[in-house]
Amino acid sequence: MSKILMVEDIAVDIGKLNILKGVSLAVENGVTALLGRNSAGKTVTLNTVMGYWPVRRGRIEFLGASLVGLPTHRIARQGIVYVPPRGVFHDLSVELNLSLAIGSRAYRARREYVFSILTELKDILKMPAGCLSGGQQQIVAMARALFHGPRLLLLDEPSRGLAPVIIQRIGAVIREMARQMPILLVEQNFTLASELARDFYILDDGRTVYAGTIAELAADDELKRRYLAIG
Amino acid sequence: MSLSMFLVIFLEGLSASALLFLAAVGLSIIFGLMDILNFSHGALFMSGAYVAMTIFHATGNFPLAVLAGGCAAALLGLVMERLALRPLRGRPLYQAMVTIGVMLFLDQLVIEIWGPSLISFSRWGPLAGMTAIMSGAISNYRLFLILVGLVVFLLMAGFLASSRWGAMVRAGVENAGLLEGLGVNTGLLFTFTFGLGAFLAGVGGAVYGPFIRLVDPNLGLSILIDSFIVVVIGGFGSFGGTVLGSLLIGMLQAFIGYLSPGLTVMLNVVLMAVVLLIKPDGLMSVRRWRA
Repeated sequence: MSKILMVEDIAVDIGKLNILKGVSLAVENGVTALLGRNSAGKTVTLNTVMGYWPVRRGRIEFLGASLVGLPTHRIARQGIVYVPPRGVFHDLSVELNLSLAIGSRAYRARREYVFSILTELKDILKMPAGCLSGGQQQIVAMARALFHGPRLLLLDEPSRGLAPVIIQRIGAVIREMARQMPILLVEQNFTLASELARDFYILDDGRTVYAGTIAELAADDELKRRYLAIG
Repeated sequence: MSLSMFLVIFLEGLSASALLFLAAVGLSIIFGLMDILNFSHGALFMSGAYVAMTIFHATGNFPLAVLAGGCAAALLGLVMERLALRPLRGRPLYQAMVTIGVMLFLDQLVIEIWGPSLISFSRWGPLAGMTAIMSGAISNYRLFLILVGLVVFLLMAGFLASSRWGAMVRAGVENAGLLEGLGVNTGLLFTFTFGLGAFLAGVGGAVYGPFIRLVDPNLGLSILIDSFIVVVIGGFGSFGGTVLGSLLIGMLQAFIGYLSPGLTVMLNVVLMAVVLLIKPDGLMSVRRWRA
């Protein structure tokens, strides 16, 4: 299997704090889960891949080419889309949220396909995204990723703050998206992550401390207790 | 108050509002999109006025002079954004201090080039007369200001409401990081926006000069204060708020000034204080997120 994204021993400082001290991971096809407690550095890792934070040390390679030092929009244009939790523009309509960065021609060309997966979008297209529920906002943010058709999706806590029934729907959408694109998934909800992902990495205090397959992790209560505070 | 008197004062208020709007709109947009409190905005306004005055006296062509004033300010703004502001992106306090430095520099530059004393800036022939309104009269120049304000308002409103650039500016106001993550070069968007804000300031200065019939090196500071009051009342970063703030101040100045001229001086500040007590973010505040 070829590595789509490779992160090797990156260190990131924010202000005077060493937030990431040694994160390594690799993303292949399918869903890769990035797990760990709050403030372990999961979101900062995604943000660093996107170029929001500069690395002090380490390598980030996407399809064999280094991303280090590139501005965020150039990284995005290489085909990486980052979806923050409920990451929508509240002041814009749903339709503008979806078409803003790709232009109306590409939007029209792909909308039938996206709406066939996310049928719930059709009724809310003209609404301002700020008026939607949290679950709807998450759907819009993921729909935007489908419109962009990325070569890698960085999905940051899609279930955060959502009701169980909505999380189920989000999970189904992620499963559908995973057929189209590799996904690096940051998720606090271990049940959801274990249903979707094949490989996982655990971060603790800014370091990669464990990697393996989700099936191993699900069976290892000691590991879950130590790093994920589960069980 | 007779009807014709009311109409004249109303139009005077509208022309004052148009001037305030032209002065403040760039300040508001630049803060909204880029988080930059641009203290040099008044100096850009003044530079526009001086350049327009020079071109007008040399050519007698007022439309050309206004365009030149706008372009000169835009050029100054672009250079300033690229050289001084971009390296400090994400550090609003430092950027604000840089703009104070640019303000002092431009104020001094104007004195070096044109001298410290007032220079008269006469009105262009076609705009010099008066127009009768029932039994009253209003200067053609005030009508011209209303027209310019209206045109800029419509252009900006159309730009912000319908074009993709406008939507990007609105998206950038709300969450620049998210927009950048979608492949949009927000640096270019910011430079363009800063240039646009500076251009509008220059145009404002160019049409302001003939209104008071002169230019002087203190122009920048007084306009800066007026613009800040308008934008604070309307809500920083809100286009609609800037329109509303300009109309409120312009109209109140005209009508209160008619009833009691002495009151207008403190009126702005009192109005601002009242608005801030009731709505600390201004009348139409923009919700803001950061990635």
